Amino acid sequence: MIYLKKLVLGALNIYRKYLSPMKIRCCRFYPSCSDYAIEAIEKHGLLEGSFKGLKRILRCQPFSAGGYDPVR
Amino acid sequence: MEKRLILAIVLSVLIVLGFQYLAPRPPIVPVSRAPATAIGQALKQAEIAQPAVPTVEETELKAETDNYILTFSNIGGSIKKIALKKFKDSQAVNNLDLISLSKPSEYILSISSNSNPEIDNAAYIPQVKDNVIIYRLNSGNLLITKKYTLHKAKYGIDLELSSKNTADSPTPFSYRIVGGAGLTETGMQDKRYVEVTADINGKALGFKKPKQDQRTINLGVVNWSALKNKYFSLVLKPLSLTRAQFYSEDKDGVIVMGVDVDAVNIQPNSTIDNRFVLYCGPSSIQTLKELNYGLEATVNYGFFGGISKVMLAVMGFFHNVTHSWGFSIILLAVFLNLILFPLTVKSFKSMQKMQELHPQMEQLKKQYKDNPEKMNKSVMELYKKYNINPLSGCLPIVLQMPIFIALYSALMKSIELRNTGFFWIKDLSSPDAVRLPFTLPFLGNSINILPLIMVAAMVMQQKISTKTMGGAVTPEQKEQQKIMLIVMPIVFGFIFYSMPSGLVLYWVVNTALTIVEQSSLAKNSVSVV
Repeated sequence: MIYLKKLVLGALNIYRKYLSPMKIRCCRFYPSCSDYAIEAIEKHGLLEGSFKGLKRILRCQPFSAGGYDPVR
Repeated sequence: MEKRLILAIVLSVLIVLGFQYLAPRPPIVPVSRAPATAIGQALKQAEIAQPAVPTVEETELKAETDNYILTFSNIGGSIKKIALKKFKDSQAVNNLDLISLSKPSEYILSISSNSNPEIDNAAYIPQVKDNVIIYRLNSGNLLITKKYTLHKAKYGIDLELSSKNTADSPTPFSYRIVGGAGLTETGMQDKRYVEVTADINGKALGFKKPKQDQRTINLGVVNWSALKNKYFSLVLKPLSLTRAQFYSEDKDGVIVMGVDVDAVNIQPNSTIDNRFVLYCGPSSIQTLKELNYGLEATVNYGFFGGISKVMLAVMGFFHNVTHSWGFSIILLAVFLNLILFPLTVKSFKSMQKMQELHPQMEQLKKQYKDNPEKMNKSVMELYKKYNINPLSGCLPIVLQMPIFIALYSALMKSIELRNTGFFWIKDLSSPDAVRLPFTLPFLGNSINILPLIMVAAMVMQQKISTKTMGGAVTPEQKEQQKIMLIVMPIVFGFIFYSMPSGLVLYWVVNTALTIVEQSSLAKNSVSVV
């Protein structure tokens, strides 16, 4: 489980550092969805953190307000 | 910067390699043996094998329907050649040979038996009546009758196999029937698309291709078994079997598969009937459905197959209107963009509202000149306060990904697009290789123009989007953007260069539409950023 967590975090970090700048900036929130997911997994563990990250992505569309939304 | 650029390039190469590894196409069959020796070996074995086959004279029987030219053989009373009349070979000249077999043990619908080996490769006596071809074999205490029924316009051939015990005592009889063998490849690169699948005990399973000279057997009730290449399928469906096994093997590089039927005790003077349907034709859901045996389940577009099928249906609708698959792809891109249009309008309106926030934004910029983190946060808070936001969000982009993967596998394998052109593109299911009068290093004497157009469009889009970007950009981010303007064309150029031109066409149209949308947004927000 710890290795899986490291793997997921590693993948997210690679995405955030090298892949995300390649596309148009799109996230409506601060911190951005990938930052949010990383923080959530670090704070709440892999399962709950990933779930929070997914929920965040679902919220990240023009019909939500966006804005400042830290991990709680 | 130097270091990061190198790192970025190394990573992008890794991504390209990783993508090719993960992409839903199995790697090319290992080339451990040179093709020349492979042919040499096959020839040798054929020479050795020939004297072993009893010297029965082979007589062929040709039958023609709307779809097929079939060549039957008296040896095994089976099919040795299937030519499809409605499909042409890759040169678009001759009828496409779906199979063309030379060894009787590989002939389609031939049967062999462990319990009665004397029927293997035996000569049957033919009889033709209208659309029915009957082959009979009287061998020891068995009378075997194979009755083929051909259909004028339908793909698929019916086989009724009756085995009669002519002895005075019960005879156990088990046999193996060949359902598919040696699908002719349209090109060497298509070899990796060859698939062996079967539905066993109600579960559709994909099998690894058997290794050379190996046989795999799977127990259970066989619902259907299929041998497929990129566009065509040979499907054997037993209609009246209770217990059977699925087998597949590689004989000198030819993949043979079919069904092993368990031994049955045939009582004296009684007959056992088994019925089969052989589908041989395009892997098209529509034609497979016409048979009404649920064989459309043999068409599999992978993990996002459901989406693939929906998109093919939408494209099929556009094709009925425009009669061009190229325009259908363009319309599909426009259609998907229209669905997402409400989202675009929403962000457009946000953009216009942004004008009102101009003074506050300027103030924040001044206030947090040296702290871009803080500035980003306060800009986002400002957005929230006034309930506006110029960015479209991550969800629309995440949603695009399965659509793209599904479209990839649909375009890659769907028969409808085979050999269909569009302007200079000859085949939408492969790259738009344009012949050059000279040879380029690495690329050879043809060049794919569409991927280059796509990369140019993406660079343009990137430039516009960096201009449009709401919020603030840190100097670090600016540096990153510069790197990406170099790295991105390399990565996407690599990934898309050898993809089906239909897919690249979709992406070009999609990017072009985004550029149009974004530049109209940019006009409305010039004074803001």
